[in-house]
Amino acid sequence: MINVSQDAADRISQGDIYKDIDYIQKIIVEGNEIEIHNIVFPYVVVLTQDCDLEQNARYFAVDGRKPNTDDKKLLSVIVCPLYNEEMFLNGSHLADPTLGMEMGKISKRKKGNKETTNYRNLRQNETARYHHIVFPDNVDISNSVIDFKHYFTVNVENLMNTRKEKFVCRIEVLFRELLSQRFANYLARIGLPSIVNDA
Amino acid sequence: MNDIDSEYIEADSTEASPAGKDESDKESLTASLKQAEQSDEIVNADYINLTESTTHEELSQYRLKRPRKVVIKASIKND
Repeated sequence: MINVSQDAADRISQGDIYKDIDYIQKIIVEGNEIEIHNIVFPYVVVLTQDCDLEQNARYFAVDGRKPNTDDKKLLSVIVCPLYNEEMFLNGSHLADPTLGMEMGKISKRKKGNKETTNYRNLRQNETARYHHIVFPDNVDISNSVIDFKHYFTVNVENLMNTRKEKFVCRIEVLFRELLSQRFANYLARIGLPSIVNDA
Repeated sequence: MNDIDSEYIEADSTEASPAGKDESDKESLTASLKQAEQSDEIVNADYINLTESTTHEELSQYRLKRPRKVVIKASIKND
């Protein structure tokens, strides 16, 4: 189980969890008609480094001197979606009829009601692609899995303007550092080809 | 925009039963879940671990949501 804070604070922070966040897939303009294709994610977690978020917040602070240049301003914030654990294990977390994506499954139990190796690795955060989270009882989110492969960005000013209504909670310091480190490691991974020895 | 979250399985409007739910409340809850399962808009209710002791409040707090696609269409008016 992780520790969370439910204080929205005065700026976007790493580890913040927001609800109902739009990801714009595409915008089609034909003649006088516009179509905006969005995917709405129920929950996302902010993964941008907190020092970057803190420096960006200075440009919008009511008091204090603003920086002389726009050098430290952010254009967007990196987020990653959280999926309900049970749906994730069943591969149905992106199976809403509007998306229709079929994902891989992970069995939880094997014969004798023992945990499978894959599920234990997921739960103990030993699977590089995923991060498993158990929320405390006072947070209205069930056990979740973050998929690092599905990261996307949201416009920082848009998030700032809607954060008070969309903020759910913030993952506390040590737990968010682990998440951040695992995300960075996943992005920096190197896939090696399998080389067949012809000899 | 409809302000009712269509994927939120709402509790029955009657007052919650005291601890030890009676049969009529349980039947109502089961019926709501079956209806939710058949709806295109509401997430599959299989993952709700419904037991005899599940209360309406507990069920209403267990939000099951999946990412969903929304397409917004608009027409540009010529002046």
